Amino acid sequence: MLRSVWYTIPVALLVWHSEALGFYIDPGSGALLWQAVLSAFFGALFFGRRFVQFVRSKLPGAQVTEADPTTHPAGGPPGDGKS
Amino acid sequence: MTPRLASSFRDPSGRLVLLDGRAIRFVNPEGRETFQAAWESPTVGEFMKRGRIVRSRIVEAGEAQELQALAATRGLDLDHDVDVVLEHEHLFVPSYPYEWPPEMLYEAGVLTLDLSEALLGEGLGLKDATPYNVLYRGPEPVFIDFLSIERRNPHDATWLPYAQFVRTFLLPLLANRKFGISLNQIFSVHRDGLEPDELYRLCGPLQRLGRPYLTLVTIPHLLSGSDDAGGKRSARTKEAKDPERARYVLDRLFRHLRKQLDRAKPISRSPSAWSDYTSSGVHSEEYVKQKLETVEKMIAKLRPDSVLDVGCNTGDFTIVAAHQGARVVAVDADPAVVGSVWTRAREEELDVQPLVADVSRPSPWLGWRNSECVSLLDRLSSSVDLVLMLAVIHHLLVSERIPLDEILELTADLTTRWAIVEYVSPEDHMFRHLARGRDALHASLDQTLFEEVCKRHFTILDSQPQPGGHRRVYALEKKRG
Repeated sequence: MLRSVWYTIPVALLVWHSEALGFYIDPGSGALLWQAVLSAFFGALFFGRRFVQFVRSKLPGAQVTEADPTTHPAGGPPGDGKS
Repeated sequence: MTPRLASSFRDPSGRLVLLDGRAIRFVNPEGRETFQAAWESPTVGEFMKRGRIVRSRIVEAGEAQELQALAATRGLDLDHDVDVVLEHEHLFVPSYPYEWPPEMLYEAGVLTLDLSEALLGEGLGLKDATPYNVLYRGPEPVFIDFLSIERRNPHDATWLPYAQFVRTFLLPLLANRKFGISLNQIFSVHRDGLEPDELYRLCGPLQRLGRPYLTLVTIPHLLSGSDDAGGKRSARTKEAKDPERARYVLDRLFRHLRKQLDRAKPISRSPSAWSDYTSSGVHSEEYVKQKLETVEKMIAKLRPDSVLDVGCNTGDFTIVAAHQGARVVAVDADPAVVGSVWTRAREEELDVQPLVADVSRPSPWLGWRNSECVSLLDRLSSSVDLVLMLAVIHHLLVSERIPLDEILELTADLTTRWAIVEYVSPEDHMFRHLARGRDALHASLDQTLFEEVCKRHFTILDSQPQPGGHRRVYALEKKRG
């Protein structure tokens, strides 16, 4: 229920400021506007994910792990016969 | 007049027509690019190979011209020049969403999302998302609207069919699951499904705030009310600068819709008045067992390719016929039992398509000028070798007051060869239960009269009495001429 209520706040703001979206709204197309809200939310997630990837790529530990070709996830060199 | 197929004229890219039992699509020059994108798509090829998109072939030039000429002689106006001619697999007894149990609508929704997600990777998408784009081959959904597949703008993060998918899949499933509104009631009146406003009126205040009603019903309802009725808003679509972002948004949107679809999934085997009929003890175990054996032996002897089981109930005889290699269409008026037959057919991978239909009030011609959706009887007529009418005739006689001769004439119209019917005497306990004291109305009905009426339309090949002394199963062969 709380998660449901959380949705209503950005939606309420969006209803009052929907001109800013620049979308064409057909009469009765509440579902289309709701899709726009979801798309904006997912778009924000996309940038958030990119930001996190960027930050991780700059961390010293992350760089060594990614760049070191001798490190093998199984703890040994590739093709060492371990099953 | 040879009818055009459902929604054929609604697609400006081409026309789908039925010519002598063949499903032919005439693609006009405007639809060429769309067709090409779909035809060359590896995803479409893969789906076609798995039978999830209707199997199709491009018709060679000479044959294409013959088909166009044939269409013209049948008075079919193709309106535009024809660029490509496709022949699609003609699926056995096409059906419409208003004849499906909720389980089949749910699966059609799953297929639509599967296809949309798979096409995204190739820069393709669906123009529309309606259950009328899906037919059934046995218990498996098949996507049939080839020209619905188009190349999408890589910067566009909007899925235009979103609202249609919600209206035609999610909201009808929710209305059925929560409020018991049948798909027949919805789709036979509303071609494009339910609007959020309609479901909003049915929901209580707390329900409107709960999942999934808040996002599928309440918010769209509130947002539609905020629309500027003067239509002053601008008409430009916002595009994403980064195609990867657009694709990510669409991918998340499809995942969101899949979760919503799962929340609207029908509850399997919901009880109904008829769902426990076979196991309820109304009939003795001996009767049930012997009738199954009788019918199984009769079917084994006749060896039909195709069977129509009228009043299938939980599908015991449907399954018997399917196990003997026949493709079966099973109809019953109760959506709960039809859903259970579908589930069983799918689990056992049997060629059975169950439909919700009342044979005394079958789906009529529907749509524009009553010529888009073919009536059920016209689709079934002469489509099957064998019709089963087991424990049905007395219901039609008593509850629907349909004369015996009419019932057997219909049976003869539906089959090309055989019928297996069950005679129930007015002394039978179920007959008397249905008649409710109006026994005098059926006083003249007895076995002799029943056989006399049968012989007007059929030759009696075999008859077997059933335990209890008041029922008899007949194997009949249709008279020619």
